[in-house]
Amino acid sequence: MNKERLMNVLLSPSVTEKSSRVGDMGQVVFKVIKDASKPEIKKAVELLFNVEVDAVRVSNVKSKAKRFGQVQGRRQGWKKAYVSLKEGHDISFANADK
Amino acid sequence: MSVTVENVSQLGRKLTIEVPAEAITKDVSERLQKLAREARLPGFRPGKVPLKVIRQRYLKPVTQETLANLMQSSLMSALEDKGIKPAAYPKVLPVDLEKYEEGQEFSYQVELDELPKIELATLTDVAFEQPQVEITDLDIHTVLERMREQNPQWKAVERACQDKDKVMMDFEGSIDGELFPGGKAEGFGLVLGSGGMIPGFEEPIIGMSKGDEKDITVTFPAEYHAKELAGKEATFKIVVHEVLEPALADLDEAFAQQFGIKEGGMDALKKDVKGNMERELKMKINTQMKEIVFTKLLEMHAFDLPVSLLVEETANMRRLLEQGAANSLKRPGLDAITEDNLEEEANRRVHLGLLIAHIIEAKGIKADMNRISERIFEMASVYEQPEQIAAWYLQNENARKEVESMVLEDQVLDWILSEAKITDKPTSYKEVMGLDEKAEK
Repeated sequence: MNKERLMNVLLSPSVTEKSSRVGDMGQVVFKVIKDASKPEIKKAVELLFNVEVDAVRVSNVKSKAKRFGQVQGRRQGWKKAYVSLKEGHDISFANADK
Repeated sequence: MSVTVENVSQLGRKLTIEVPAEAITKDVSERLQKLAREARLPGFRPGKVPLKVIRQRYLKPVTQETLANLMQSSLMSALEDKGIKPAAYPKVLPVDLEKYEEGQEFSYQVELDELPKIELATLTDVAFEQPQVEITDLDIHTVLERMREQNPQWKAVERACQDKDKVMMDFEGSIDGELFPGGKAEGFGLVLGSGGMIPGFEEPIIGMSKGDEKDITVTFPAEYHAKELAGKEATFKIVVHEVLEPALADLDEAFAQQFGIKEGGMDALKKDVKGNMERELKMKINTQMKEIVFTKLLEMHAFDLPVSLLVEETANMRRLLEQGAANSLKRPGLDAITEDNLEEEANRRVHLGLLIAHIIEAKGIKADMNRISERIFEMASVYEQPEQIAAWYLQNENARKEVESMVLEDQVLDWILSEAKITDKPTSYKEVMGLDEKAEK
């Protein structure tokens, strides 16, 4: 797995009611690129935040159908990754933007 | 909160105020909690944003807001604690709020001038002379004579005209042989020596008699208001129809009517004139007394003046001066304010202002509503629609405040006069009004 690819895997943290709820249980939620794999995400988080990752679960967030006047359109879908950190590890987003 | 006071100069103080860390932290978290109840963020239902997220996002701006607020409130209580009365709004030395870090105490410095302590001297031993004036028939007569001179009756005479005469004439002006607009008039009445026409127009006319015709050449001044005529040489063809000589008008009913007296003729006019004179006299005596009394007051009370007020007043006056409003600064009976005596005058104004404010406070003098409205109507009566002006004054807060301060000044004057020894000094109308000087000029 090359480093350049890993740097591009994570898009942004996801800041929502659900993500702050699971955050209390040692999980961190990210938006990741569409074709990222679990091992890739694990490596990427460990590389960027200098923590140890226990496990990664992913889900594909379906795109939403939107209509602008008569034009039917579709929003981009995205991949969401729930990253469980090992005991004693934490990520602070104090200076990160969403 | 701890406050350190440092005496910089006689009245200048420098305060260092420290706000303890707990006070800041408490205030910040209160604000954050309040924010959490109403904050809207994408990904959260309104009001459901956890405090942790709010904190992450808003800590910095909220802290700065808190500090700015605390600076205000702590300054007020600091001044109260130390019993310092600032003469003007304190100057806060700039602090970098960005540099503040959570959990630290916060300190800042302000500079201010303290109000000087004023001891009111006893006024009971001070003596003032109050002019007592009786308007005599002679005074009224003098005024009437002057009115006669200024409003002469014109009598036709058969002789060459001279200075002060009025000439009825036609004229027709042309430049290079061509008539120009506005250069023609018929039956025009010109008082010689009045300077009503462009320079050089009157002189050649002197000496002409009834029926004379003459061409005169006049050059329009370079700064004449009509651009196309300015600086041009024009020829006027003049026909004199009549030469009139000024004569003193008879003091009769017709004369009275000239001054808007419809009924009662001369007696009514005299009464009117007397009323006017009395009003002018009252105002004049008031301003003169004010000048005398306040000058005396200043002599009796010497104290240090706050530098900040002096600077402000000087700057204010200088601005007015530059706007060409020097007259509004002038004290009656004194030379105009110029750059040279500006500072001295500002000094006096600040000095007097502080003194009067002190007297008002110490003696609990309150502006008399009746006097305020009286004053407003008096001021409004000069305008064309007194009711509207008066209504504006009554409604406009600032304008009313201005009148209020004038009335307060008068009331302070009254109070001083009631304390001090007053001797009546019989004075003539002329003396008070300074008419003799005027006549010489």
